[in-house]
Amino acid sequence: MDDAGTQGRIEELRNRVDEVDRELVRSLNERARIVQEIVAIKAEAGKALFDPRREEKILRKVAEENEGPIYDTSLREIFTLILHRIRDLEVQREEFR
Amino acid sequence: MSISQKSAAGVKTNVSTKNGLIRSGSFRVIAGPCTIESYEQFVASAKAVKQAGYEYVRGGAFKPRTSPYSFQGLGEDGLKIMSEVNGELGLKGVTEVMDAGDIELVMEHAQIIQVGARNMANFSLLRRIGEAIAGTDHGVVLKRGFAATVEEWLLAAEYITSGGSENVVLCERGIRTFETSTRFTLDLSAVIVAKRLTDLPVIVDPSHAAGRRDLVIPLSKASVAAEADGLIVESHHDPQEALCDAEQALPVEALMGLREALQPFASAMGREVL
Repeated sequence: MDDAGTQGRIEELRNRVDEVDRELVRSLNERARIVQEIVAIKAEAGKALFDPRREEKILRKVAEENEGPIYDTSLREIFTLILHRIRDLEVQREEFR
Repeated sequence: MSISQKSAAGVKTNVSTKNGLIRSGSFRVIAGPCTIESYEQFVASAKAVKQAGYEYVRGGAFKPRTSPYSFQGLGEDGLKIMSEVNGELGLKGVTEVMDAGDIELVMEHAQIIQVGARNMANFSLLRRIGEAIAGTDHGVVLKRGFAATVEEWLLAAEYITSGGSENVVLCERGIRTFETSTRFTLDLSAVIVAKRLTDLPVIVDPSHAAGRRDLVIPLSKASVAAEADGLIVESHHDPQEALCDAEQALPVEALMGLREALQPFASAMGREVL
């Protein structure tokens, strides 16, 4: 491929990456909204936020369903961060309700 | 539901343990020497704790010293001194266990088992302690490792609580940072974060965090304001002669002053100093 061809192909792939990112952001916020509903139900029932058993279940499921090329262990790291950031968002929200 | 979970309804300042170490609406002070050095030394320190109106006395029999050549504690002899003195004075004892083989021995002589910062990640020890104290009035004070995240600290607590005990208390004791003017950096944010996430009571050890006695009372006041449920402080009847951590021990005369210093802050938080 000539220079312009290379550039065009990269541009095309980057557009696809951007589309995936948009979808990820939409999905993460959708996930956060669902968690908010769970937290509201938990609050009603006097139940807890810190729940390492449930967390481990989620992480195992993610790894089980993973088809790669991302390593299972890397996905666990990524999802741990997602879980904690969304949980902490709720902790902070509770405080200022 | 795991018992170290926190109600999603917000912060709880009314957490408690089943054995009465932590009571709703109160602020528990545990005081006493770093180490049990002799009968005479421990009885003098324990009497001062009693006179200041506190119910729990600390004192190490098994000491996790950085150097194997430092004084290692009196071991079983120290525990016997503790239970004898506490029996006479009507106090309850808090002491560290380092070896799983000593758990039962420690439980014979003290009400509360302390797990030190260096052993926070000793998961087999935590599990064994959890099994040993399940269904008893014995409790655990679990110190935060000085390089542990809050998440790691809470998961360490799960190793104990998953055995079924409802008498587990977290203790923030400072973390390693670049700062050298204090021995460790007391991380009061961790106290608040831990309380946001779980129902476990959280106490603070300002003595080990600061490593110097002039900071102990100010940091204790700050701990009350940061929603802590209590303190564990070091005190010695003669700090000059103390065998370890002399710089951070409050002289026993200061124990009464500590109570007076804390009460206005505790009242503001809706708590009574015990």
